[in-house]
Amino acid sequence: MSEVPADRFYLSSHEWAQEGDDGVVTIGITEFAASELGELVYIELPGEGEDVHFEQQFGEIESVKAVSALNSPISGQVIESNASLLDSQEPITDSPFEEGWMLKIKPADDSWKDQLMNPADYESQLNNS
Amino acid sequence: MILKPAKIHLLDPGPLDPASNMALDEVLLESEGWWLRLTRWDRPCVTLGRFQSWPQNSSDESFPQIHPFSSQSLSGTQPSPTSSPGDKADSLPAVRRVTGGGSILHGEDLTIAIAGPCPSPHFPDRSPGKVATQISKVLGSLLSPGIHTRGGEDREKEMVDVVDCFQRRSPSDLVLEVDGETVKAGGLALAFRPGRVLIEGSLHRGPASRPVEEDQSWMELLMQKWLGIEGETAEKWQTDLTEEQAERVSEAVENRFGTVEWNRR
Repeated sequence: MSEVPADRFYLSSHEWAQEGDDGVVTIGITEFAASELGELVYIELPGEGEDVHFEQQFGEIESVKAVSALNSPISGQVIESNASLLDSQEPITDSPFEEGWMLKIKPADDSWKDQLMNPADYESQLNNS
Repeated sequence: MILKPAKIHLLDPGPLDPASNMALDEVLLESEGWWLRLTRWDRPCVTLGRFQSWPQNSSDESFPQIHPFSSQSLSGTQPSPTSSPGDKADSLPAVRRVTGGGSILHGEDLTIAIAGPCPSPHFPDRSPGKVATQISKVLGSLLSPGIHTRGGEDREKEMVDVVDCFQRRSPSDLVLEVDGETVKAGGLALAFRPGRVLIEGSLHRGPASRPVEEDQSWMELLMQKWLGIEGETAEKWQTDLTEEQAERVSEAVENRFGTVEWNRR
């Protein structure tokens, strides 16, 4: 059973979002998504200052000859991108909720949580899939 | 359980230039419903994986040698809009795919594309490895006897620096035994967007010999065997795209697949 941390929110396409004390939101993909993708070989992420939009593609990741879209769980502006992932994608697989984070985002508004699943709902989605 | 989608589009738009072919595949990825497509090339060309580096020697004779069963003369090939101005006049046109994997030389292979919903009854699991292996087994069963799916462990990380798709090894490869050696006879590359998957396949006409004139009947067989549909339930060989799809292909060629920025990276 994949881990579903209780301190963040989720998108049905298996991305997570976690709010920090400063209001900045960190996003990444879940343990379930990472395990489904398999061995990762490339990732492309937006740079600082770029805008991302709720449920819109913010990057791409390649594994097993397959390129998958990464969808943003939040609208806002990128203030930091995890550049270390460009060289090694292992943190995404080994630590998807911590070292494998992808972007830090300044939210466009305060209502972003309303559009996402809470941990219980996301866990239910995993159990039913 | 027999799975029967309401409709599948069997598409054979005829020979297209490399950029249009790859743009069309992306449009099918973003369209609704099931698409099974025969991809024909108006010239020999190379397609590159989505994140592959542009090969340093793409403008010399290396590409004609990377395909183990290729015998087609590539002399006289004209440069295309997808080549950079600096390329030699005799270089092969090259275009970047939206799918992953390595470079493929096209011209005498059998190239197909499948686009449809994922997850779905036909692809219940969204895992790339499982989707690739599932369709690989179907393709293998329809090709020459002796062709089978390679299987084994995923070694994708080890293959990143191998330029030629047919020199890479993946569990979903179609392989056969030639003189005691395992030879790759076909490979797949995939792209996922929310709720959709695109599978592009390249199959050799060498050991798995299949004449060009049999391609359409082979596609119908694929549709029947895999999707379990035939005749009245299939929308037969819809040779024309919708006007809107054709416009999107043109836009994609102009903005990406026909540009140096997209193809060289």
